[in-house]
Amino acid sequence: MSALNELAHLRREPGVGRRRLTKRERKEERVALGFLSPWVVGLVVITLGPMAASLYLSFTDYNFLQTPEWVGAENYLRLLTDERFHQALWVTFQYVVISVPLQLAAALLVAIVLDSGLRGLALYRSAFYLPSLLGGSVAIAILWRQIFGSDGLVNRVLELVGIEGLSWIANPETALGTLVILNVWTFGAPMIIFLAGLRQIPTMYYEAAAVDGASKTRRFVAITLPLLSPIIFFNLVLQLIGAFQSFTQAFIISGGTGAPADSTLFYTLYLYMRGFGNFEMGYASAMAWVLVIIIGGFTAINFAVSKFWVFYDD
Amino acid sequence: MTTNRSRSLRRIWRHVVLIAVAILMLYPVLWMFVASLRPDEEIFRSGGISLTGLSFDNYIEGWSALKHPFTHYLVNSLVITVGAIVGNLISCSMAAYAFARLKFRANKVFFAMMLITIMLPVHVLLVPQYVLFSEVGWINTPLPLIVPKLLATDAFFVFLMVQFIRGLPRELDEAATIDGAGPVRIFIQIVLPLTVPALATTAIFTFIWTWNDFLGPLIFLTDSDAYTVQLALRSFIDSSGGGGGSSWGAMFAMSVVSLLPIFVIFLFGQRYLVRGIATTGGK
Amino acid sequence: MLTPRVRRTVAAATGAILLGGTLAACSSDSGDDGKTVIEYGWWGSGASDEATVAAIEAFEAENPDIDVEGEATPWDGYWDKLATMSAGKDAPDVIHMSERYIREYGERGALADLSSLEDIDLSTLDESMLALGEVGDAIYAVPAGVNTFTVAINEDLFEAAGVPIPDDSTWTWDELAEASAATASGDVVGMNYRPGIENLQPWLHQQGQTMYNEEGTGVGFERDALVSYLENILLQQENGGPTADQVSEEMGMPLESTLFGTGKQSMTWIYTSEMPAFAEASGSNLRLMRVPSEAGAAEENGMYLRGSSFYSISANADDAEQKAAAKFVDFMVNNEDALSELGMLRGVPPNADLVDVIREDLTPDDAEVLEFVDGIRPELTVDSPTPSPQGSGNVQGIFDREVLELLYDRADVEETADSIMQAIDDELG
Repeated sequence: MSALNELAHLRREPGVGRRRLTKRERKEERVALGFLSPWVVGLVVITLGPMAASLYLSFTDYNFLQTPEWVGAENYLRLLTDERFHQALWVTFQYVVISVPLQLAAALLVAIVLDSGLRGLALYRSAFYLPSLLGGSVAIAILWRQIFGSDGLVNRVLELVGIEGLSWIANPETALGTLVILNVWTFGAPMIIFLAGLRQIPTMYYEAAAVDGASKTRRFVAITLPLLSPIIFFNLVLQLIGAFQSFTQAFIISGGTGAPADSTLFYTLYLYMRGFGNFEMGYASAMAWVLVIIIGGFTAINFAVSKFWVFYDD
Repeated sequence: MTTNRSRSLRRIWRHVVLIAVAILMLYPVLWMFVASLRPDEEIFRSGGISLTGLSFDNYIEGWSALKHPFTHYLVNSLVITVGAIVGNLISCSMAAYAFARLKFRANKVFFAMMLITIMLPVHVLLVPQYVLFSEVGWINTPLPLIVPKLLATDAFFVFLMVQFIRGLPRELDEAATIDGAGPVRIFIQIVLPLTVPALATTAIFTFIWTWNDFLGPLIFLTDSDAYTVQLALRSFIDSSGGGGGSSWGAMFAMSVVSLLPIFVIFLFGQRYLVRGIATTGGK
Repeated sequence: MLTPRVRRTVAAATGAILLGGTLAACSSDSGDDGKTVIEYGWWGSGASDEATVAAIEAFEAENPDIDVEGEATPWDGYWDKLATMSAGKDAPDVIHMSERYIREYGERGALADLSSLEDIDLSTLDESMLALGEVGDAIYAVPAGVNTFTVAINEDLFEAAGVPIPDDSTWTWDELAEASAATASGDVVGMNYRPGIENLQPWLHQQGQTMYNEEGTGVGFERDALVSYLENILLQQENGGPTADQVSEEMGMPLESTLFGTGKQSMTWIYTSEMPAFAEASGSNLRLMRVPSEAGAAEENGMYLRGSSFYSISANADDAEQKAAAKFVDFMVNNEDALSELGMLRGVPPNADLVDVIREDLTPDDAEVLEFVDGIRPELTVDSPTPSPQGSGNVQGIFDREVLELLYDRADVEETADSIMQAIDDELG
């Protein structure tokens, strides 16, 4: 079961009955906690502790050199009027809403084509998957910056077909687009998940439908999509969460500034600039918590809406 | 009615499309590789990937362009990456075993918490982690990037291994218990050896993600002596102003060098990667 | 619980990693032979590195008990890095400082008061030089050199276009736009805007206003002044200036790759200290021109001298390091050998006596810069501004962004002016 199924099921099960534990059960508990001790330490020291600390810091003015000064909700209020913050929200929102569906659509499309029993599946799969491994690296961001420059590879190729290219990276209208393309380029990972899911759809469903005279499209809509929907949902949630936190590519392509004219000012980039560039750590902490809420909100909405289109066949 | 001929035509058509898309996708990377072997002036002259004028000058130039030879940064990255792999393998397998095989009251609650941490944006932890690590003097060491791995903070791998271990038959465990083995021995002598595929997947993914990690090193490694490959590349691009024409060659060369380990791992570890992703997706 | 074997293996692995990490963490601040080691971090690349390194070596030769570890970082990443290092109390002992950040770092206690360090002789410097790095009673930074931001033209391109070179003591903004239009044709681009603090200030001075208000909490100018400044930029854009794309692409590029640096632009704004580098990169004859004025009179052009960069000393260095650092800074500012290596690299040396010493050995380009600065000194009517208020480090970025929007026609002059003023107030407030 996928992680999301797990979570969903956890909620549905009734609580464990309470009774005294036997000696063996107590011993097993001790052993279990022993095995879990690194994780527990990590949870407290690396995750929960810092979460609590950053919540506290978000209500302070803290520049690291001097002790934090309590300012109440001032940081959060400042977010309401901070133009650049709004810009960062807008840029990130556009990026998430445009690139994730595109990426998943590409992944699904290619997975479907690959699923038709072609020869050389493994080769194609590798070819499409490789970009998604490389995509997170600084090297690829550097490459992207060059190929979309006014003198770059993309314009060279466009020249061949007689189109005069813009300076994609330098123009605020198109700079974000290059990042969207980069995210779509990395469709390999969700594609593999789709492939695995497609494999599991029993062919007899398709055969039965074909016998009934259903067209290709009808078969896709009525069989493939519903049966694949848990996986689509899974990919959607994961990719959305990832896209909201996107950082490296925007940082490298814009030189760390969100240039040109803040058109690539991703949320996390602005957070980094405030927190570690200006050492406004209280403000950055407030931004971080707002991000948690945004991502949590989006995910919760996703879960809620999923009841309407995701079919679990268990 | 589908005739044999139209079916093979369709098949050929599919191959054509797939090959075209594959070329389109891989072209930029291929181009960068070829460009790194060309002298600077020739890089901008063509968009082709023909290997004209083979020269390793860019590699030589790029290798010593920063304060240290590039090997220095490769070593830094390697130390962190190996540390992270060891950390994840040990701590995540231990936690996964507990979740998957051992009975304890807090199992469900802890498991849910672990799942939630997968979805937590790391940025909410960065500022306090920076303060914490700064207090203990760990900034500019590999420790902030390795120690969390020793504490199973990569919940994704815990989950991966839990799924895997759950799929292992319990008969062997039960047989061993009858023979008098305790949970620890079962873990080491039975479960771990059987979990090797998941361990391999963990190791490979950890390698790739740690090698590519940028934000973590950016925050915790401020002294250029401690830079990883990713940070070194970025300071490369800064010092040439984002490629003012004259040093793309060297930059591409070092970019290729930084991608090689991932590529190699990918070549040899594909099986595990694909299997690993596919199983998390939802069996 | 865990078997002894497992326990030992885990302990060994953890120990090995921790040990390795701790060894890596050990910094070697105290040299092996009882030498004091200090770190000096500056921004720059290429030429500035060589000269600075030579000066460092000269210092080490004269002070065999001190080792200076130097490191250059490109401007783009410099301030982020310095911020992080300072936060970790790990800043270099000698810090290359910019006037935009003096108050930020000084008032937060990151910089030492140079007037209290014995080993720096500040008496050789003129009051006006010391004032550049003075905040209240403390002197947080001493200028490494003095320059000004002004117009430069490519004489060769003017000649090729058959345009006479305007008289820079009497020219107006309109004449600048005309010259730009006249020299721009084909591949050649006209006047570069380089919008920002450094050329806004002369514009404001010409209208009797200042960049920041006295308290340092916001702007010191009126909206109309900014609007007219922006309109002037648009005027230049209509008169042969670079396209928005060209401006956007040049951002962050090293000067050798810019249009002016490759001899493809006839006019631009530069720091006087950049002139030799541009001349060498473009291989053309360049000339420095005074800033134009509304009235057409040099005394009213609002120019001023500024510290090109400064030396500061970290307040978190220990006593031995601070002493060594002070000696080093004193060497760089007051010592003949240092100046003979550095020359005019950082602008005109603040030590007036030493300027005469190096005057003979200057290259023609450097000599031209010195002559220019000497020439405008008597005409200056505006005092050099004191170090900019806290938060001003981000102000240049505001101009980069907002004026780019203006150039791309995504915002009009009124909107841009409002955005800029609001953003500056936000940063400083």
